[in-house]
Amino acid sequence: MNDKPCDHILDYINDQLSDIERKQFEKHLSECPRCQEELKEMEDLMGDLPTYMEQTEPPAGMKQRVLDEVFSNEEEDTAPVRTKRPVKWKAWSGVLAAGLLLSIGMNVYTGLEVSDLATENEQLESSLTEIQTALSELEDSESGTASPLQQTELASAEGTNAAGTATLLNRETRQELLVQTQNLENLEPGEVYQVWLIEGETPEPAGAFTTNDTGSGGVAFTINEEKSWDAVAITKEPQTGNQTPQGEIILQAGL
Amino acid sequence: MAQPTDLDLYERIRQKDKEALEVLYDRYEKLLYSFAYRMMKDSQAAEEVMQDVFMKLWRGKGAGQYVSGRGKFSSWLLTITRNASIDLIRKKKVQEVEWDQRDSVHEDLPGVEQEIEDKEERNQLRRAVHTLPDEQQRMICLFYFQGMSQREIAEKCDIPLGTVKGRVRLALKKLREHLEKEGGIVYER
Repeated sequence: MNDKPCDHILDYINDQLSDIERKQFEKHLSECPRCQEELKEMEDLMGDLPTYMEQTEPPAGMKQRVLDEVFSNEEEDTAPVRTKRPVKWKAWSGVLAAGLLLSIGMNVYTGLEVSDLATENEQLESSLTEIQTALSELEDSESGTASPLQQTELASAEGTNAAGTATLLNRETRQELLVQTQNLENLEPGEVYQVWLIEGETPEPAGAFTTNDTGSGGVAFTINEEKSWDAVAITKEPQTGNQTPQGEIILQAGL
Repeated sequence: MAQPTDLDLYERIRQKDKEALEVLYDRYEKLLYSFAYRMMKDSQAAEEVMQDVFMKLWRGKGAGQYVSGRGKFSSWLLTITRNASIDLIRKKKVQEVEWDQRDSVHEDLPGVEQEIEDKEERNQLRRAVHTLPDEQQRMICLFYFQGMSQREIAEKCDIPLGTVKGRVRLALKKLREHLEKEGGIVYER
């Protein structure tokens, strides 16, 4: 609308800029002493005006209504609200594991031979059963009913037979991630398979596990943070407790 | 027992201390509500603003994040209250325009009495605003109380876009000078 960035100051103060304009102005502001001074002056001029205004008696019960709403919304916030978001984590996995199969979810099947498909299906069916067993065990061990929000097949890296499923469960006010895998390579002593939940391009550890002789394993993880996860991935890590992945991605899927 | 400072309370709110939010609420309810009421001229809308402000404060993200060094805490609270009000004014305006075309044409010089209606004797702001020339009163009304954009003000007042900033600043400065003679209520602790 205006030519000079300095001309945006009033609209900045009145919160009338678009996100892009606002960011542009803030960048300009950091470089323009004159605008900084003007903004400070305007803020000083306007800052306390309301203290000179006539006081109005708040309506009865407002405090209760406002605070109730604030706190009840907070509880809703921690409850999962899941919306599909575009997958943004490719950059992350790309950097980490160039040359891996990046297909997500069902796409993986198109790359597989039909014979592999049958095997894969069998495997997935059996892991589904295992998950259901694990699920009912979980239900027994803790109060609250869990219900699956989303179940997804994990896509394997090229050249491996690894397979698995990831299930997001809703349990009361929190979420759990259940991961079940098979045909994983045997681990060296000290190594673990690490599960990551990925938001955007940021992975966060979500439980680690080791495998049995046949290469099966899994883990249940309680998700404490309210985030909109984009993907789940499993890497092989040289030790437990890594906060960022060192190893390559073995299995992955979009959420 | 010493009263917790605003900053103490803010820190505790960031730790999700409900009691701290309540204390802060009690401390500022009247100031913020009165302000929101002046902006909205409607008690229900003012309550909506209060809701928005305390929600932002509790969530502590984006606009709800206080950065010390950018002025007093109370001024910051008033700023987010004002922004929440402007936001709601704009939303309501969009609705109005949809069914009331007169809104854009029918803009007579808004008597500040009408905008900052006041039944009590004691209203320093109103008195101070009244000492200003009409044009300055109008600048304060459109910019400060209605939260209009620079372009909207230029169009409403039929003045060049480039002069709006200077006029608004001058009006606020003059208003300030009058107010400082009287002194306001101190809220910061």
